[in-house]
Amino acid sequence: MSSIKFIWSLMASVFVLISSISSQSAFDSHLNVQLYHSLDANDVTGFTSRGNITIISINLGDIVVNQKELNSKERDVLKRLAKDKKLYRLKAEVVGSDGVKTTFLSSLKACHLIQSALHDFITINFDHNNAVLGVNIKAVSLDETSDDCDNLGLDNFNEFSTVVNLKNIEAAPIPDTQGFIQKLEREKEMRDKGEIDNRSFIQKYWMYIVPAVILLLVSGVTNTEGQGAAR
Amino acid sequence: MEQIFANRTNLTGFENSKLRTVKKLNSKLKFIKKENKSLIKFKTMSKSSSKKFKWSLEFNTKPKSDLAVPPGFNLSAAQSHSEVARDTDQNQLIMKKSWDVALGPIKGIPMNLLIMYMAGNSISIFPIMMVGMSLIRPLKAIFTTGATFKSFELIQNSIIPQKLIFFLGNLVNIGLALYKCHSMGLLPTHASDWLAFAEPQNRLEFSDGGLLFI
Amino acid sequence: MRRFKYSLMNIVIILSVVTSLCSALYEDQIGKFDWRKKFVGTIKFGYFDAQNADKSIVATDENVLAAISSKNGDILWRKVFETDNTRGEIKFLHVTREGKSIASQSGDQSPFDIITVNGNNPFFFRGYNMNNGNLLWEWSITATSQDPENSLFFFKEYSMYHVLPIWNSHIEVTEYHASTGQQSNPTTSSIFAAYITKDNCVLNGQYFACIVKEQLLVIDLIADQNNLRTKAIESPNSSIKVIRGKDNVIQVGKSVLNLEDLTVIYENKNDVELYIESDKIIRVVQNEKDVKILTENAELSSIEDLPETLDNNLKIMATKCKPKRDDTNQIACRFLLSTNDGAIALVQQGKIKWVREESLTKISAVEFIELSLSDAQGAIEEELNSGDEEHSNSDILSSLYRRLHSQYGMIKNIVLHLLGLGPPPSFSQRAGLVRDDFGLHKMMVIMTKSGKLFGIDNVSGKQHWVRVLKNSEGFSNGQGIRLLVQRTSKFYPLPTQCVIIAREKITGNGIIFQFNPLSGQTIDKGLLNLDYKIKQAALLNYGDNFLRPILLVDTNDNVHILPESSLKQADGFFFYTVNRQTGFLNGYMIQHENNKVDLLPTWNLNLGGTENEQKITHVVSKNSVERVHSQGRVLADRSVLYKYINPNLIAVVTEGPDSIHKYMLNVHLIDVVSGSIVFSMNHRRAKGPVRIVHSENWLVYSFYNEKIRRNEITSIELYEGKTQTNSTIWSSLNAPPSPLVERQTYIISSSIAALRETITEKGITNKHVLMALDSGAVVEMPWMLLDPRRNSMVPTEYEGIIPYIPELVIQHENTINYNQTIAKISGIYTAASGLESTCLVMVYGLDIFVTRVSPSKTFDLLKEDFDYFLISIVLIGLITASYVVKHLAAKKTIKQAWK
Repeated sequence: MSSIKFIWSLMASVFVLISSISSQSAFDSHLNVQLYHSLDANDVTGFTSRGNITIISINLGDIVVNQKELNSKERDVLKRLAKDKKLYRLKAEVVGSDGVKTTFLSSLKACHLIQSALHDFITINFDHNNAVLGVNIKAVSLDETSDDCDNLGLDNFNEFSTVVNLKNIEAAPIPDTQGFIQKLEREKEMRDKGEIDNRSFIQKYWMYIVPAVILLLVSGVTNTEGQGAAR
Repeated sequence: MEQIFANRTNLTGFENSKLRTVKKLNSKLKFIKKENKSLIKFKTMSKSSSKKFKWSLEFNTKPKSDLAVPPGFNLSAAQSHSEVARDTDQNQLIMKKSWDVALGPIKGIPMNLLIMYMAGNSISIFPIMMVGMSLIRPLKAIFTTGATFKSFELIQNSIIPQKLIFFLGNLVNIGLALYKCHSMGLLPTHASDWLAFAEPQNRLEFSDGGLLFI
Repeated sequence: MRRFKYSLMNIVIILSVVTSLCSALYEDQIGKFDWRKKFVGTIKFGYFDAQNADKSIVATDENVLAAISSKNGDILWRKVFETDNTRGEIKFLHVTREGKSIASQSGDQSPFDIITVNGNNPFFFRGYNMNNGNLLWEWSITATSQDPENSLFFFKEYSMYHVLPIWNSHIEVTEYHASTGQQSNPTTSSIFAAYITKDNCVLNGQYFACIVKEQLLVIDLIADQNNLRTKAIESPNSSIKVIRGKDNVIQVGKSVLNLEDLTVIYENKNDVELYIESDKIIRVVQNEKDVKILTENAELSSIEDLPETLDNNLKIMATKCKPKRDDTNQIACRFLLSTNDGAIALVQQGKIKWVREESLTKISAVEFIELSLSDAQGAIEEELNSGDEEHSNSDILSSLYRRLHSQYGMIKNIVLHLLGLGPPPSFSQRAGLVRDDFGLHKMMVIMTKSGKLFGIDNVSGKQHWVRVLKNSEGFSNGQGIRLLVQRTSKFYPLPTQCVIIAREKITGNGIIFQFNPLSGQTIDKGLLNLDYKIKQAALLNYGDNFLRPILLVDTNDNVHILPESSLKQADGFFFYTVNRQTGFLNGYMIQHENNKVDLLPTWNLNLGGTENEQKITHVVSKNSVERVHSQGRVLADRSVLYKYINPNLIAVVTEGPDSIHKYMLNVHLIDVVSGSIVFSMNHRRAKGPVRIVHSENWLVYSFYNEKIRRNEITSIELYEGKTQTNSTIWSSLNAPPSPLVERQTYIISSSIAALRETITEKGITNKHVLMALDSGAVVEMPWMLLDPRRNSMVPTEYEGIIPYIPELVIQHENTINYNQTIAKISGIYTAASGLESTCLVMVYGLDIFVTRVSPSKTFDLLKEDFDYFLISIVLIGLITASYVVKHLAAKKTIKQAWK
């Protein structure tokens, strides 16, 4: 079992999402993100390695995720963390193409991580220069309603299945003066033309004529009936 | 059938004699009326010429019967005959009338539809009044079904089908009115109609902080 | 046809919206529920009017020139210069002392008696008339030499002199004709003086004095020859300073020298404040309690028991003395004083005639505090409260007993009161500070940057109490003194409690001051000097006795909770800090274990960019007392778009240079519990000043678009979508889905000085955004006009969205301060009143303006001109008529029955 601990397993399921098509930065760059996690609530500063994410191209969203399997000891620690309603904390060391290392921290309830069967989402935010703003971890617990952290089955899950989401900064809107002027012009044109209605009288006013006719008919029928009754 | 009639005539005779005895005891009349409602009605119809009253008792028939009955003429038999004939006639009429009443709401549907179409979907005083009326009228009618069919209850035939049809017709009308309400947007069927009652979410975590002081 | 109809409908919609949103006042409502107080700022230069000292001319640090009446301290006239110091700063003020106006030599100019110099290259020279403040002439110069900001000025006989010392080199002196700006000499005279240094030289009048080692060097800047004189001084490196009051007196070390003949005229042994008035030295001696103003030997004026509200560190700005009438060779003087805390006082014959609290021009924090209950209401409240406590045995009999008991108490009080034996009414009762029916009457607690704390009535504008927090100042990073409300007035009989968090001026340690905001009295120990430096402070949400505990984090990341009994309540609290310089945001969770609390770092973000070029300029969270009534927005198809109302969301604005776009402005929305960036957006070629409001599910901010050189305003709205993930609980940790973001940018014609949203008790009333314009107007902008869904994509007909127009037109009818211009607006504060429809507003800057607004009109209040008389007459008439008619009808039926 312990040998598995050191085996790096390439994740079978790696989803890559690019939230917005990046036209922001002309230049592309690659990133390497080392992931460490803190499983022991008593050791605040102790982080153990979890895996790494390699972003070959930020603009294309080309990502490779390598993560370790959890061994039984780590599973137990994680379980205890969840039981104590503590936070699972993830440390990400981001090394950009320029070699500058920045450390980011993110956390979530350990309980949610287990409830989601170690299925988590890591979001990496970039600014307009493709600089990393933050690395955030989320897990959507399958059972939304209960916050019950006591009955958890972690035994079936020993590897993280991670969705990496690259999120670029979005361009702010600018006042749409062009569109507005065009719209005004279109309206003016429309008014100048003064739409000519070519439809016939009946085509135009059928909605008034039809009920009137029906009314007439109905009243006519009742009248004849009345006459008949009188006779 | 005939046996029933015979029974009835017998009863009549018996009752007649009984009535005579209680002539002076007006106070008990009510009781009898209650007891033998159909009987009294039946009798009055045969006797009275006026159709104005639903029923009346004529106690001064005695002088007429002072004359001896011609031989072979059985008063009660003749009476019962004519009465039976009239009864069936009346029954048919009443039945027809009751069906008319019962089908009334259904016949009104096309007219209602037309009015609703004409009223349009705009929310203003007249369409609202119209919809309100078309909703209240059938409702009222349903609640007063008993009263409406009271006059038809004397016939021996059951009028439950008529009542049922009447009820259904009114239901259809209510449905139409509701549909109209719906198309006018007066029914609280959307989530937005209940939005005002939605409570704000309770927050689980609290946070505070800001720019560093140093 | 349909197109036309559509556009016609647009016009109709716009017109109807515009007219319906007009909230202009009627003429007779002016001043009914608003007031404005004008201020001038802290005095830099002050002079008395030469003739009879019935007014004083002051120039202040707020770039204001004003004339203040000596009688009552009213502003007679006021000139407000540009806020920007490069144009507005008052560098020099000269007021004629001869008692007559300075007639210009050419004779065709009207006489002027005030000269000011404003700005920092260019320098603006202006001449004013003293009586009405009219500008008589104006001219400007632009110095071409290096460091023109060192420029000094003096006035001598119709001429203005511009003195520009070039340190360690020479002095340039240029003479200008005062009213025209013509150079008297075509060349600038240059005086060689290599010894001049910044800290050792002063200019007083025409003399430029410097200390060089053991000598005092005095240069006469006007004299053609022999302009340098020297005098040995006893102690080297002594300080040099100007003595106000006369043009040629300075103090070197302890000696006071006359620069004309370099004679020592006084030895200032006690290091007191000095002033020269017509060759007499006036000394100010400050003790703990009183301040004495003396001549060399005789006492002129002494202010005994100086009120606690004034800092005893006084400076004489101007004096005016005249001999007393009784020929005793004594003089009577009038002093214009300026205190360290920013107040201006006028002292005459040992009495403070008036005090102007000019520190109110620098407001650091404001809170509106609800007043406490009146005694009678309090008794009722108590009765009800006791019922709550003994919930189990609150049967009819006991409540009846309580009722009778409280009523007996009330009667007893009334009787005692009539007999004059009752207990004295409390402070708030006496001052009329009791809660009114509609909760419109509140106490404005104002904390100023100078450490002065005010309790001001929001209805009358009266100062109920003033406190001075000595040696306290705001924090660095532009973080002012904090004012936090720990307990509101809702928890009768527990007193209301506020807390001030400040920094000690000398040590930099934290200061805590807990007080009752209604009376201004201290609570517990009052001023608490902490033995650590505060890094960040927060208010927890729950505590014992409804008192919200304060959480302080010191520089060593230790957590302190006040009161300490509330340690437990801090458990699970999320806390964040923002570093303006590095752009780092750190999130922590407070953990409570073994009776101590510590910080667990949970997340961090770096908004600084690659080279840390982006600087955080604003961090805006939502108003913590805000309530959102409507959970969603109804769409055209009657479905609901649910709002993304994340109480832990903050908006962070960063600004910085960019290699391609020159300027870059980023806006990030961050959940401070989970540390996730919910949304981020960037504006290219945009820069500050940014004004921002964050409320409910929206964000509005204004900025300057460098590219097109105009002001723009962007609004963002967040929506969860058509369904709500969890309608009962909001948990930021349970990964709420990311919201849909609606955004729109509008052009705005005016630059914005401050933004604030209106707030009401329950949040049912529409929200308006109050915009303070640079012109001094405050405009109410309906949210409808800022709506980011105002674009061509959304069908406008049904949803009630106003069709998109790129420019946001400022409706001048919506100006809430009508013609009451508020100078130099720096902020707007809003508070909810007891009326759902009404929001209390305070606009502050150089002036203070307090009013109320009702964004959805006063739907819960009868109109002011409601005709009570007519309606009661009609009601009574109808009731009597119905009785009469009933009687008549009965009579008639009886009559008919008899027929």
